[in-house]
Amino acid sequence: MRELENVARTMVGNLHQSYLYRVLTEWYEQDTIQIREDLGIGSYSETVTNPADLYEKVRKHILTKAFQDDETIEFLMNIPQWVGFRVDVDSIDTGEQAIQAARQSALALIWVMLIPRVIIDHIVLPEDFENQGVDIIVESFLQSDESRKQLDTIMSLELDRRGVGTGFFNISDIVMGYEIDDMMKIERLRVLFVLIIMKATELPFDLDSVFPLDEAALINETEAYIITMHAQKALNNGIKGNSSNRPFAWPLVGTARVFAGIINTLHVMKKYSARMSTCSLFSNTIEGQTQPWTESEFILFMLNEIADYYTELLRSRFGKGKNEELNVFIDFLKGEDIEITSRVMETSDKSGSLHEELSECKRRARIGEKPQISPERRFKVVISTLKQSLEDAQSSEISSEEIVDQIATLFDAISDLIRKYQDSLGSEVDKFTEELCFETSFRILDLLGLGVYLGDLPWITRFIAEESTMIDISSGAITELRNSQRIKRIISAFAGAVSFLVLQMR
Amino acid sequence: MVEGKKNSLKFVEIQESVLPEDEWLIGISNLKYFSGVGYSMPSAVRFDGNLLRQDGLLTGGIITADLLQSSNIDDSIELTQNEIGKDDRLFSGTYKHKEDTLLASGTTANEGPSIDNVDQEFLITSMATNDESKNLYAFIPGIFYCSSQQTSVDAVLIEVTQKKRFGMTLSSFRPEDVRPLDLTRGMTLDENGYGKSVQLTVDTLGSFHAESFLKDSGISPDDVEYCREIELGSRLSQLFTLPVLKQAYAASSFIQTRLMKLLDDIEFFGLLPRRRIYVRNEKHPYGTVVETEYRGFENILNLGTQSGISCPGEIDIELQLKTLTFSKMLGASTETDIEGAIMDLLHLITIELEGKTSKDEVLDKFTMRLSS
Repeated sequence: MRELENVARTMVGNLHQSYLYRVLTEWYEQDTIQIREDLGIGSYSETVTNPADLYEKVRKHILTKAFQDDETIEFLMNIPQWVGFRVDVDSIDTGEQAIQAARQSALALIWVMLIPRVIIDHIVLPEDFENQGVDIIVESFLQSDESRKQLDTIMSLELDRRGVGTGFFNISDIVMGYEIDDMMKIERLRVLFVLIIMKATELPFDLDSVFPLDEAALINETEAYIITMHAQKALNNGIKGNSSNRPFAWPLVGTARVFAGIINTLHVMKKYSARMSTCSLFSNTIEGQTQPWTESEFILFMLNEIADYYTELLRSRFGKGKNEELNVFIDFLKGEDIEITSRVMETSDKSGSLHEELSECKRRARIGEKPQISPERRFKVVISTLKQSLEDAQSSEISSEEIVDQIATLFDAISDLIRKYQDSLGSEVDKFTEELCFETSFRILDLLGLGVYLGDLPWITRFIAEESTMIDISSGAITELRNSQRIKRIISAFAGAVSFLVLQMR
Repeated sequence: MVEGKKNSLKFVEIQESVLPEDEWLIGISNLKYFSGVGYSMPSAVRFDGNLLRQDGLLTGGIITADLLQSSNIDDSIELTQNEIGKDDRLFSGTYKHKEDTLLASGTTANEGPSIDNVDQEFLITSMATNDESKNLYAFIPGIFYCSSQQTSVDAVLIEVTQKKRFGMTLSSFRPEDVRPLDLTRGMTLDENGYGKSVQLTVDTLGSFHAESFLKDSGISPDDVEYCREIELGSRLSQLFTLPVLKQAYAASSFIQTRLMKLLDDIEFFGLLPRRRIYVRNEKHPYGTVVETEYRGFENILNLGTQSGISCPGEIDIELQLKTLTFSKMLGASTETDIEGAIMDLLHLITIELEGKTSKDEVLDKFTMRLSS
């Protein structure tokens, strides 16, 4: 009880940092009249012909104001139905009732999305995450109606103490206006909370494998999601730094102390992500066996995050390809990440040696050494970068431009690869190029869930190649089809066709 | 004879590479005949009626297919030790002139010089016995026009070979490269650059050009960040969905060029067998057109007894091809050979076109039906 009060105090203290809280306060200041005006709904007393429609409309209205991306809104709109709840048309007679119920339910839902983010104070070090009472809050959410009521009371008290007012926090209302068979209610309500919290952490999860878990497993799982999210946030902040201290602002490459902090964060991530059985992000599946990531895989992951940070920096601050030194440095970091990781893993002072490794990369980039990355390795690096960002694309918005950018890089890597083997391939070089492009295209399409369009790839590729040639001929750029350009033309035709398919489906 | 469903005959295109200058075949076929592409394994050597003895006199003969590749073309043919006796068939031609005349009647007239005696038959049998090639052939019968040979053929045969190079499997044939060209409607660009769906006719073929996309966008080549093909792909994606792109494809000028050649060819030569097939195999990696004779078909006229395909000019191709059998899916499922399938397909096309072979009528036949 005492502990719950402490955690509640922390959460309320952190609320001011949250955008969602600002959205919530705005809604509490407005009454239903405002909603009516917004949605253009008429008089009070009319009996609604279709209460379910009105109910959903109001819910959508509120959620749209709180969340920006369509995917989240759609998820939150549908999740009660997926779990088994239905809009309770019998209990809603008037429009006013429908609006009230929808408002209460949507606001409770926003609270559930908000709580995981404010549960841990941002000044807490990652190694202390486990002592912040995340489990206590998760238990209160999931155990029973009574535990939720208790949480409501304590939170309201705490909010009242800050002068916000009572009756503000009511997560029990989340299914207001919904009904479900009493037999299933306890279990399904629990799953509903779990899924919304998982969504709030922005980590991918397998919806179907959540349902069979029992109460203890769900509490354990949910806690792991929340702490992993905070650890990941801490990692990002550790790399990005804050306004007064940016440890990786080129030409800075961190310090031993910075890396010590990052490695501690990675340990927390490793410990808690290993507990998540419904998330595929931090584990490998080999021959049907799921293995959580090892420490070296986390270090590899971290190096790639740092490389991505530098890439972003290069793009935003210098313009792509404008800072040659940084460009080469990133190539070193990405191309030799496995070697760096294995050297770091052998030492006892990992943070020190990480700093040494990055400094060494910087030194080599500075003296103009070119990275000795074989085309095969580069191809692998590029394709794994693409794979990673496409997987991210499922949870966050990734711009079409960026995808096309990456497709272009990938097909560039193919050119290098072919050039290396051109002599030994002899007359088979065309066939080899086509086959490699075909396979690569298939991987891209497959990663985006567009594998079924593989059958269309050959004719679109042919179409692009024909039209492109036609443009050249009619503009007078070429008078004959040169054999020396064949490889380049094959590769770019495939790149064009994949771009079409990918962009057209988005 | 096989009576197929009317609508299963289609324009079919077979693509070898994505580049415009490379071979491209377009034709009329029925992909249901083999439910897709016919695949074959050569069965054991088949014996024609007059090839009685398989234990030939020659062993260790060199397959002529290899001869061109090997530099030592002068390698002597290894003969087994055989007593030369009265019954030695190898020399029978020398002594028994009567047999010669008898056998000469079994083959129809060949063009050019040919040696026709019993010993050659033994030689061939022996070669066939030693021809251990077990390669798969993909077979698509139907009237096809070949872009690089600029001629029409009765069927397309592609030997399926696979090679491993640097961890990639290079296949000589991909099923994705054979596809029905479902021409329904075409598309043309109006003055605002928007696509407009049009009925495909001889006049509207080739009415689509992607050129204007890059021109009208007002970007100079320097601004194009990625290679032009990606730029083209992304511009097309802003305007067309996949099905609409297919219309643009159908109305593109390169389809027009090829399709018109096919239509011209049909209009001019009608639907009689071309007596040519397109073969791509290890010996001819870029494809070749082989003159053929259909002995079963000819024999209707000259009352012969042999059947099966023969290639007078390319004896080793004939040896490979005549052993191939395919399981046909249309009608009664039975085994058929190359000749049988070609004759079936020609028959189907003849029925479908009802004797109308003008360009408009043929094009109409294969587009109108789909759109209505």
